Amino acid sequence: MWKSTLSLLLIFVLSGCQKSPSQDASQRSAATLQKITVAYTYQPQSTLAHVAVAKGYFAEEGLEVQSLMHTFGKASLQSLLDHKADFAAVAETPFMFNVLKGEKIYLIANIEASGKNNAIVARKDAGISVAGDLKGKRIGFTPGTTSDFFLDSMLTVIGLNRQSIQPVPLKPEEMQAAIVEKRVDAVCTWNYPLTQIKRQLGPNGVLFYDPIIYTETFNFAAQQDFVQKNPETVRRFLRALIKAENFVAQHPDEAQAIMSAATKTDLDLIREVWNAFNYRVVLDKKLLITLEDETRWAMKNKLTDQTVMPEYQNYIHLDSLRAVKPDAIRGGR
Amino acid sequence: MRVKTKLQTIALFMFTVLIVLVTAVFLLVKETRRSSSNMRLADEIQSNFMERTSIRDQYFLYREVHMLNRWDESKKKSDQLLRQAKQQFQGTEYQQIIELLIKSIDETAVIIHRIADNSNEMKSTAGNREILEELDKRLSSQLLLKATAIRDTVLILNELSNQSAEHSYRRLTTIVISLAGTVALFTLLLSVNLMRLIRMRLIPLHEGARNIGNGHLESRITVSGSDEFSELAHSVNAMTEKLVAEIEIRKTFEKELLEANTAIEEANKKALQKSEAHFRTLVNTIPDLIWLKDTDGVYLACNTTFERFFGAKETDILGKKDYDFVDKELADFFHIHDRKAIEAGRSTSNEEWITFADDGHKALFETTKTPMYGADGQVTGVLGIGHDITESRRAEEEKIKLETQLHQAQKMESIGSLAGGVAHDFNNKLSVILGCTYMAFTEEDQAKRQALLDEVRKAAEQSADLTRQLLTFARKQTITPKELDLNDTVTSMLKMLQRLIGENIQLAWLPAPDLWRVKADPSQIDQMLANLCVNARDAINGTGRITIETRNNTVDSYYCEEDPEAVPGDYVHLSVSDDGSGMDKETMARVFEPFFTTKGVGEGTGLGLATVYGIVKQNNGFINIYSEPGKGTTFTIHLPRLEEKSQKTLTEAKTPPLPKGQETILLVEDEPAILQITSQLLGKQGYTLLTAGTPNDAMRLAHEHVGEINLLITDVIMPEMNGKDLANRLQSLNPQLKCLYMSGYTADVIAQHGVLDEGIYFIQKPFSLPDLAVKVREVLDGKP
Repeated sequence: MWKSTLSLLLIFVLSGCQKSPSQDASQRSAATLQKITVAYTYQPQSTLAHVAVAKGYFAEEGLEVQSLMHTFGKASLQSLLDHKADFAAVAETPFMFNVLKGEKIYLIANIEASGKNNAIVARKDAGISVAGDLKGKRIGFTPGTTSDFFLDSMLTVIGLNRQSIQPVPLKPEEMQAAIVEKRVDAVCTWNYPLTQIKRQLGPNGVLFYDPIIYTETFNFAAQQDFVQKNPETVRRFLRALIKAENFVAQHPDEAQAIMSAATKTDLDLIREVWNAFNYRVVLDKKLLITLEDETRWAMKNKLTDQTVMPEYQNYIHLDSLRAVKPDAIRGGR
Repeated sequence: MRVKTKLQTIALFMFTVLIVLVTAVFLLVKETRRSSSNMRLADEIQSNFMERTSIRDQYFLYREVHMLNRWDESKKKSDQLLRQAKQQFQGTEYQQIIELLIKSIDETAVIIHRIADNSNEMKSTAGNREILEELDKRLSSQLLLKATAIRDTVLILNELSNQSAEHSYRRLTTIVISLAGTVALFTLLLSVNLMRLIRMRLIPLHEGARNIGNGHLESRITVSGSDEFSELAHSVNAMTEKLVAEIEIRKTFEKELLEANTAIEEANKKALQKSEAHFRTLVNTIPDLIWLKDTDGVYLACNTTFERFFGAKETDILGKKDYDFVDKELADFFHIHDRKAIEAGRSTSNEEWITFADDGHKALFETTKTPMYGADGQVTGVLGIGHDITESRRAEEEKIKLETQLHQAQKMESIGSLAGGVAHDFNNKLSVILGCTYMAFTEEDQAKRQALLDEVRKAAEQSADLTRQLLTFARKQTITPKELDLNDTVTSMLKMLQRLIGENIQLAWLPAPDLWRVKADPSQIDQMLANLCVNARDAINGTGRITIETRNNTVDSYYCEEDPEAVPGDYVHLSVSDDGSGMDKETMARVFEPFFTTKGVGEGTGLGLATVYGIVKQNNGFINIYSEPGKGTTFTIHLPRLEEKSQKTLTEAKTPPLPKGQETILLVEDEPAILQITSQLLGKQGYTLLTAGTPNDAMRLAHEHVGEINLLITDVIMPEMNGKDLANRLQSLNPQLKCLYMSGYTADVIAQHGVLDEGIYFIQKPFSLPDLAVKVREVLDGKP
């Protein structure tokens, strides 16, 4: 009797419990790996891509990634436009300019956001102690990037405009040498160069930023044609990034180490700037707002010939991310 | 395994499982409540955000300061809610979300205030307007961006809390269902097990026990195993064996008991026979007649005396009736009295003379007949006991005769006491009468002769009083109650009483003033006074003092509680006290008994105080005695007060002159002197008189007289015919004839009644003219 009683009781108890999650269906055998080329940067904004590669998350999703490294997102996007890469990591500003140019691209996921990544670092010996001292100074910036947009934003906060200074176009990798060599009095750039310059200038350097005037986003973009033809690839790509997202959230120290190794960057530098970034795989409304805001800025400053605001909803691809992580779609259509 | 162990194990297991499940339910309910609370808080945070979003949009429309203030208020509320959420929500994920919200909302606050500041600057500065407008746009864009992020985060918080609540609810439901299922399963398993237990173990035991219970004491229950059922089976088997042994013992005991009972019954029977023999001897030895009859009068039993009455043996009497032994008239008599007792439902008595059949002697029997009842309450017959009272009746009659003689002797004793004094006084009065009469014959002067005749009249009246007093003691006079002033009555007796008690004893008289009047016969008052004074005299040895006192007295209910013979009301009390030897309580308790006396033989009759008691009761009064040995005695007589109305009437009646009339009166008196003087008296009052010396003369006159005769006045005792018979004869001739009787010294028919009957008129001889005139008028004016 007791055996039967215990058996039935066990059945009852077990029937009251939820079933355990099934094994990850995305595991693929190595034989079915799909090759893709992913363009991304050495910047901290590309952390999720580095972690996904380093942790083999792409491989887990059946993707064999060929990394195409760049110093900044604008170049990364260009490799996508040049059909050298299937996916490209890029900030919203280059993406916006290329949409205005008529490129048929999709933004498939936002992988980073920050209000503190962009700043103006100046030399004090150039007579710059406070923000207002920037008036009339030579300030280096990278056109068509977030540096370009942030510089104008900061000038506006200070009460200046582009005409109040001497803008000097520079590539990101040129910035440090230019200011050190005093070819410019200040530069407007992002990390890691920003912190590296500040460190190099030491007490002679002064940093100007406003965390609330601008929110940078870093995203993955792909050709619209590619996305439509390879939806499963896109979903696998995104799943890998989501895994990286979870790993970074749960193991930040490891993630920092991975970044240090992958980018050959000093770990202390990485740690110093780590908290300025928010690594989340999402598609939310802030992207739309930022794109439209920057488009308005670009049009106002005649940085584009376009005068009609594009329908950015048509350039943001939600379906793939919704398929793999529905709650990552926020405030969307 | 033993059943008890099984049951304990099941109970313990079930209890443990239930405790676990109930604890799980309790914890899940708690968690569900917390989740619900979180969900409500998340909703509130979302509502707050939406409210602030609305305020923000309104601000952007008009840039009004008060909208900014409202935004700040909403932000304060948000801070409060988020602080609460930080405490309430548990889990790292929730805490991160809340931290993010706090940070983002704080940033929006900074942004919106910078927008406001910038907006104010735009209003005041014209030069930098373009830059300020650009800044405004940039800030607004950032604000929108932050708001979006906040909204998304709030939604996440809401979704998570909703999912958590839903998950908790699902788990709670699952556990509750599991609990119900477990209970049902256990119940099912327990029922199956119990049924198996009953079928395999209990039913064989029951059938075995029933077999034994049906009387098959040789059979035994067969149950295998070593649990309680097998133990019970063994116990029943053992009980059965013990029962068989007990039955054997009981049979032996019953046999012995039967023998003992038989012996007891024999002994009882002998004892009963002995008792019955004693009883029979008792009944037969009693000299009374004893018998039993059923309701039909058939004899059931009788004793030896009764056998003598019927002159037959009891065996011959039983089964027969009175009619078989005595004549019908006597048998009817017996039967009637049997029925009376049965109908009365109690003992009844009667007296009967019977003649004994065995020797023919007669005897008076007092027979008591008592109905007998059966157990059902119905009458079964009559018990008769006849007691011979022949001798006791004779003794009683002898006693009455002796009492009468003694009574009379007491009176004669009193008369004897008075005789000397009365004779002396009477002789004196006669001397006065003779002397004055003689002188009147010789006296020529009319006035002197009149004075002498007055003396004669006075002496005659006083003589009449003396004879009246003598009659009182002889107690042969009629009793005529009338309204009295006791003071007058006592005063008139004083001289005689003094003579009665002798010169050595002082008689004190204390009359009360304004004494109420009473209604009584004066002669009875005199008799009571004489008896009490004689009694007082005898109590005084040598010299002493007797006090007579009158007083008004009101008796209330309290007094009556002390003296049961007293009745509340106004009384005139008359007391006679002496300072003689007094009485003890035993004597006092018996003084009013007839023939009770403390005097020596020949000194008293024992009837004096009994007479006083009788008179007092006759007059609706009562009497007390106060006495202590050596200190004297006081007898107090209480006579009811007469109503004032009667007194007034009496007073008024005395006032008018003597009544007169013209009617014809037939006067019959065998004493010529009385006939003559009475005739003259009535003639003076205007009446027409026909006088007759004998009843025959009267009869003749009545026949001869032409006119109507209105009144017959007649002596009662006369040689030829008594007054009553004469009146009857004349009234038969003339029904309208009225009658007034006169009486002198001898006894008459009327006096035998003690008081005058209603409607019979009477006047005591001798009488005065006023008395006669009033009485005659009263009779003539009254009914015939």
